[in-house]
Amino acid sequence: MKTETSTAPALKELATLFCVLFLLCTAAVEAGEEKQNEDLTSLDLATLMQMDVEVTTASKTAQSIYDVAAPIYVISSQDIRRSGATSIPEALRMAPGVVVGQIDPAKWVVAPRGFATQYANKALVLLDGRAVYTPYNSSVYWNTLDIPMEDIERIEVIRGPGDARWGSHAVNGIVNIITKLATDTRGGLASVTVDSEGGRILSVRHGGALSTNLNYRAYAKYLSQDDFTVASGDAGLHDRSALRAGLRLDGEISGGDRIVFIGDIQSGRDTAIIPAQAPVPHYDADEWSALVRWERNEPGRVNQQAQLSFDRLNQEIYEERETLDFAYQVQLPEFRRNIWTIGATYKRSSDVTSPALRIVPARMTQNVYGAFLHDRIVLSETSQLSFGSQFERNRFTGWELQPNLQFLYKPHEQRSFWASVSRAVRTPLRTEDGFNFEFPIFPGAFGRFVGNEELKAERVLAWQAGARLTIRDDWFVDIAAFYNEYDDLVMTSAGVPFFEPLPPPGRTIFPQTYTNSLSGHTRGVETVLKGRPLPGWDLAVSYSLYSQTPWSDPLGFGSVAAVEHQFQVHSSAAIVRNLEWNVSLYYTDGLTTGDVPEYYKLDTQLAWKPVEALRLSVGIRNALSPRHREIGINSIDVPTRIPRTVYLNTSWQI
Amino acid sequence: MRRAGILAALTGLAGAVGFSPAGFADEAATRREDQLKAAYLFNFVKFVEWPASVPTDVLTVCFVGGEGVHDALASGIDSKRVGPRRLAVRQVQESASATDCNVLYLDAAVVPEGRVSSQDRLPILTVSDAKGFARSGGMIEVFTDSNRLRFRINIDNAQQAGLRISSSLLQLAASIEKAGPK
Repeated sequence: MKTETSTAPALKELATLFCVLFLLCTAAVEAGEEKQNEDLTSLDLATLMQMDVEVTTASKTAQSIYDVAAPIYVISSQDIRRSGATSIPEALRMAPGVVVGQIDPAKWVVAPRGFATQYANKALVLLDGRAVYTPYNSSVYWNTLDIPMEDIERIEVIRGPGDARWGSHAVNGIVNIITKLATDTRGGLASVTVDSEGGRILSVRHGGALSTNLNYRAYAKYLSQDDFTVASGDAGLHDRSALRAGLRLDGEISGGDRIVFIGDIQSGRDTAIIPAQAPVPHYDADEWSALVRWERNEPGRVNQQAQLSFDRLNQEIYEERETLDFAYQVQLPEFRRNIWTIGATYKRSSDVTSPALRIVPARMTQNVYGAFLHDRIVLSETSQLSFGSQFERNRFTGWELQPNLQFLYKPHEQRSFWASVSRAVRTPLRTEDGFNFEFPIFPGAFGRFVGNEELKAERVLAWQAGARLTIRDDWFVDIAAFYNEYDDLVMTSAGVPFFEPLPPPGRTIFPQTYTNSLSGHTRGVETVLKGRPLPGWDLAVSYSLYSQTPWSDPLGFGSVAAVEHQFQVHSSAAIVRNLEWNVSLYYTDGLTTGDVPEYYKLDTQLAWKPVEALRLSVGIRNALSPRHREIGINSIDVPTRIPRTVYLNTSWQI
Repeated sequence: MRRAGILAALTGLAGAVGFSPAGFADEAATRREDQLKAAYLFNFVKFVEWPASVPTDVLTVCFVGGEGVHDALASGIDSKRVGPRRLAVRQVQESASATDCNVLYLDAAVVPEGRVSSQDRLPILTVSDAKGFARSGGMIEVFTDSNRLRFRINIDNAQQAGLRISSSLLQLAASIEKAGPK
């Protein structure tokens, strides 16, 4: 189902939008007061000590958010605390331009910029620099990433393809989860959360110094969750429980070199039903991982970074997988205005897929080799140009090229405008490459998914532009617009039905083959406004608009669902000393496929700190609706309804 | 195909290099560091007690060098209070003339390495970002570690000058130094 697209309208659209943004922003700033300095003296020392000297980390090097030529939203640990989010996908709801839908206690969909299907597969998710998506279906097993929320320093959500330094697989976005340094989590912390839907989370952690230059943090966490009800009103069967522990070491060796070690182990048990087969009473969801990273950063010199990680996953219902990942990058000192960064990556991923899934071949080892080049050119005191490309060789499609060009104009320390164009690819999944999965249609007839070894990678050409500015010292505005052109999107297309005589009495097969059959475009705008209307009252508002070429798959499997409007308001107010009232309201438009209607989600929390070391909070999630569905299901899972939940959390620093 | 052509052309343009000033991201970072240092300075002052003989209706913070930190602290100074006391900032040429200051901030660039005079036991809180400040005659040394601003306190130097540093501030220090060369 090809639709015609042409370059000229796209460029014109984007150029006009850019000019309008620029004029609007300049006008707004001229109208307001121009105060250059951010006054930090009103903050207490404990807060100041948690602040970065350099503001955000994007592109793996520290830089101010005004220097980032991409739509980035930073979710801070304070945002996470105020939202009461007990898992990473729940925290990701706060990012604009991302659809987050919960399916059941173990599964979420996190889909930036459209393609909000159950197996959303177009985002690169990194946990402390380690990619955590699985090549099996390119999505993330969120149920094995239950790190304690208190250990998260921040989550950077970048929509659209990142630049060459991020790595591949970032077709529509990057979720970069960064945990706190061991030096920042000294002492003990115990946290208990219970809720009205049978959720229990207990975590303890302790950090300290092993020697002058070596700090550690160790934690243990237990969680359990009863399932939500299914659409029919019956109790669901996706109960889950998990036990997790981890250790982090941060060390500094002579000469300013830094070493980080992060090890985690999680063992969990989830229950599930697969209707086509006998119900599976429970399945294991275990993972352990280890990561070592070495960094050498000195301003004006050669900066290097090397990282090696290993991960062993057992998601019994789908696969067992071992991943070895190595990445090295070096940033050269500025030479004639150019700052070059070069890197190389190697990833080895071996899997054994569950026989019930009929992946062909059932076991596979993939080696992916990559390299990247990136150059940042300082054109003048207020503008810079970056370009680069990622080169990667994978088993299914050979070499892939992902170039990227970015421009940044920063006339003022707290005002910047950017534009970029990037090409990104998504390589075929294990299921798309070799699959032999059958499902019944009517007696004697079965549908069968058939893999396609000749499949090409999906491609996107993303045109983006945006602006970022601080108005009147207290307000921050961030606008980003995009226009994505997609080609070779993978969909199933019906093949000619045939009769299979064996085993007797034989049956009719309706094959569904994966083909690169779709092209089209998507566009949208994401806006954020954050500020402090009154002392002690933080407010954030964001609105995301999305529109896509109408495209669908005839059989309904893999229909491309999207959400066209999303709106959020977050308010955090210090009521009296030590008492904080947090409210978040989310509006999510109905899915374009019609499966799920629009819904409002209201979360509210009252937090009390009677003493510095103790934080008590009570809150309600989904206060407005007793039960609602959030996302469409494209498989044989049973859709559940997300309930209203009352929760209580105690956090105690020892 | 046309799209790829445009992309290639734009990339080709990007290859043209010219003459350049310093990277502008560094300026923003320095500004922020100065603002953080000014905020720390303001907080330090809140946790220090001067001897009763020193009039402190106005707390005077003097700077030798460190214009960025001076400016950051000076902005909006009328609204800044330490308890009931007002704050005043001054730029001085050298530490010797700082006799009527309550606090003296020394920029690392103006502190001769290894030689920090202990202000002849005058009740002046000395703060600096010079390396090793706290180990020699200085009282509070500010430094950056893992992208965060931290500080070390030399409690003996402060006591000898008649200053009392609250335990709340001592608890937050990265380290406490004692004694040191005179």
